[in-house]
Amino acid sequence: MLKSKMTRRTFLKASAITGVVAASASYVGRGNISDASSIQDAEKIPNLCNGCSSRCGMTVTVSDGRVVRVDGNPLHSRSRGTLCGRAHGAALLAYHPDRLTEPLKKNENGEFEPISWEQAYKEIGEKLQTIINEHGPDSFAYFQNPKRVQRLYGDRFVEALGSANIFSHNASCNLSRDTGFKHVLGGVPSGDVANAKVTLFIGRSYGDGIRPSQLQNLVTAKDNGSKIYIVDPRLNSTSNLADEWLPIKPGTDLALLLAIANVLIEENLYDKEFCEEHGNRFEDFEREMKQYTPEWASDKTDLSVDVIKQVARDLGENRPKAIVEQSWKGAFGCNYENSTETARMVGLVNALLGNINVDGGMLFTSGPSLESPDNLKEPGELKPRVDGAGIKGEKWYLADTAKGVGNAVPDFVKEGKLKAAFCQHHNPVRNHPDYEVMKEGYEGLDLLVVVDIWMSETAEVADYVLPESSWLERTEAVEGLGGKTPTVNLRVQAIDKIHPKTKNFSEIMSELADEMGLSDYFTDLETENRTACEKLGISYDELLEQGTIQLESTWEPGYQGSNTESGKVEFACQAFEDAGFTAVPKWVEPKVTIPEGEFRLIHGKQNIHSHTYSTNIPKLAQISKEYNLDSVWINKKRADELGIKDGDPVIIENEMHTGKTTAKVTEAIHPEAAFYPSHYGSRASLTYNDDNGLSINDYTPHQYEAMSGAPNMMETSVQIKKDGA
Amino acid sequence: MTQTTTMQNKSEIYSILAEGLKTPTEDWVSWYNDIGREKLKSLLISFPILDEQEVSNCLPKQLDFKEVDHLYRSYFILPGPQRVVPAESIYKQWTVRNSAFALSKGFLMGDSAEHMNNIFKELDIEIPEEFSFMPDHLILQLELLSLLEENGNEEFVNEFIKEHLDWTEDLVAECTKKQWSGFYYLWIQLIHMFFHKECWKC
Repeated sequence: MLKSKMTRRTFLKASAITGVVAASASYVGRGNISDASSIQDAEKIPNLCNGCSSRCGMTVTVSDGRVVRVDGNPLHSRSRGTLCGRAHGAALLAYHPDRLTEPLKKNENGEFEPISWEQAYKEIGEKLQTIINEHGPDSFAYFQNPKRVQRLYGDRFVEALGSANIFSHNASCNLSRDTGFKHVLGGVPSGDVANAKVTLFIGRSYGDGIRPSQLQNLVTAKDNGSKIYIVDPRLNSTSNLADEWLPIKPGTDLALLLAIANVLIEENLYDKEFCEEHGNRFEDFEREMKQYTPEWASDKTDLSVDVIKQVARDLGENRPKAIVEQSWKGAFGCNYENSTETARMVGLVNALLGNINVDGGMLFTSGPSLESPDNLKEPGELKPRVDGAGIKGEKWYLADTAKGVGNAVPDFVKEGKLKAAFCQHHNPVRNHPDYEVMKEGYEGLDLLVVVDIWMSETAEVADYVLPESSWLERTEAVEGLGGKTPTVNLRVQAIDKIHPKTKNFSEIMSELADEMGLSDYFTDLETENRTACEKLGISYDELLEQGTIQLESTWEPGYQGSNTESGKVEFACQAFEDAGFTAVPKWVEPKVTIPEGEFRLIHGKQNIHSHTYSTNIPKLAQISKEYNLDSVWINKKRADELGIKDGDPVIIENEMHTGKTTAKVTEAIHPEAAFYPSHYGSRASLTYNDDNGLSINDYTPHQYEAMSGAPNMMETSVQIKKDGA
Repeated sequence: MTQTTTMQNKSEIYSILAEGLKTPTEDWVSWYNDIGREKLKSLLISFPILDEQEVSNCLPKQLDFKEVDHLYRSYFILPGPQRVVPAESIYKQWTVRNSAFALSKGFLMGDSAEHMNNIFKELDIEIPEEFSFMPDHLILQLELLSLLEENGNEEFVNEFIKEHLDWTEDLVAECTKKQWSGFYYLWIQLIHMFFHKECWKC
């Protein structure tokens, strides 16, 4: 039938008088918006930054409903009144054009289509229940970023269903580090850098992975005349605050630490009394360290014997105010076959220095205990973890259960052990090595639900994607922070939701729990928050106002015992022997030996980016481009041999991947290493990250460190050649 | 053409251009195939500044509903490599205020959006909830122009276009970068052509 008239679906709803007004209305230009005085009525709202995972306290200035600036909250112990560039870059995320606006479901053609929240809850609830009925609760897992709101609503949801399979994003940061520290010291202490006389940083760079308070501490240390050593194959951004850079051969930090222990013991520069009184089987350790001479270590590390002795003596002579900083991912977070042993030795060298819990040493502090309402139902008995972490006799018995062996998920899917998973604030498909293996693994789940603010590589393979409010649009759970002065902190909603159909994670999980008949385990966020404050004896209203409340210090100086199997510092650890390793740490070669002519591909953070998401923030992406930040660092001598000049386009390749970038030719890197920052190479379809460089995870195979199951992220070799050569 | 006729024609043009950017329906596609294409073409070429061939090139002869629906979802709705958000704020400096974010670009709810909200408020016009985060969406701007032309406020229209429709070239560039093709690519080019050739001044 011929349609002569177009059916209009006019969106603008004009009132009856609009026609009259429109006919006579005068146009008032946007010049009035530029009037700076219009921000005088701005509100200041406390929040916690989401530029990285540090959650620095900040104040958000909001005018006419829009964010106009962000500042560090002076009360917050991590920001202490300042913020880094990531905070300013991430502050406008709420307004990003890639935001998800409504729930999505993948249809039979593999395409996403919008659905209602009701449909999403109903279908997800039914599918999850069917999977649990057929395969048991342990076929279900949750991948998260471990903050309190995730624990209250995500972990509790999983546990209410009887599963213990909680995997943290941090497994791809520091699973080895935490596994090593857990077994020798009972946890990860914090270096009191500001008050130390000597600090040895191994791979960790405060100038790149910025937390403002740590940089402030380092500046204080320098002002106080502290000696700072940087051990890193490349001259990182912290080096301008350092006294000496030790360009170590990548993957050999363990050898340096073994030799430091050797010198400390041989030259009687260690705290004998502490080690004998508080150490478990110290004599075994003492005996084993004899073989690791500085001469032996020099051969492994490419550092001179004199330098190794000098570092050891500087540490020993200044004990107990001398530390080997605990690091984060750095060199031994999860990077090499010897990373867990390296972490054990970092803990034990600190113990040799007798610096545990003393000023200028390695501090164990605790945060406030935050409780939920008493009337919530508690989860019953949980099925054993699918990765066997913490379970005697299992392959990854030693692995830290707070993180889990997330790298192994594709294998568990293939073996039919995992059938369903939820993922929030985490992007495992991109953040673990070997994209193809990860993608296939996560695609193999019968049900994958991703909660995010935009599409990630993991969201792209999901069955359902649920749109979360962005960080400035949501209030979260009250959370605590340890330190000599512990604090209670809160993220407070600063702006109205930009997209009305997005929801807070707490709402999403509570509503899904209602659908599945699990509502007894949950209450609303405000009740959680008020209860936590009430039980702690602080005012929630004051917290809403200030964002941070400082509590009285509960820290007591002096060694307080260790949360280890023996209750002491484990110089020899039975658990390692039980798991088939040696009780005392020993030298372990890196898994990959770099063939002549090739490079070990190492990575690290840049101080404007966090993980891989921030390259989709236009201003930060622009900085990367303008300063050629997505270049590969190679040693000048090696580059000369290959005919590569600074700025040349080069190809990085191995059997897994081939990609093009530009060369940064420099003497500030060990000849065996090629450094490429870890933020680039996103494959998600997002607006500002096209043509955004290479991903280090494309060059590294799917593999495990034997002790912790960590992904060995720097165990790979690449060739580099001039493009067109 | 009298001034009144010209304004009515422009009102009709803006209205049709806005409709073409909304979720396609079978009715609308039938209307375009049977009547709409020719109608829009004749309205447009009533402006001598527009070349008939150029206009014809931007108006496919026959649309297929399924194909148009698929393109619409890929280009405007679903997250993916070809999605484009046609809202003014994204293509302009986010704010000129005394703000830490004054030089930012590429985000929704910038000064353009705030100004559009002011205009809608001033004219007592309500916008749908789904556009509350992008009151400077191209559809709403075209609809507003249609309304203003219909009510004969040429002065308002001219000022509005000068301030708010100077970003269509960047929009076309974005669509080109995202490898658009077919009806919507042509439609966006047609909109750009109309403003670029300053037909609104005729």
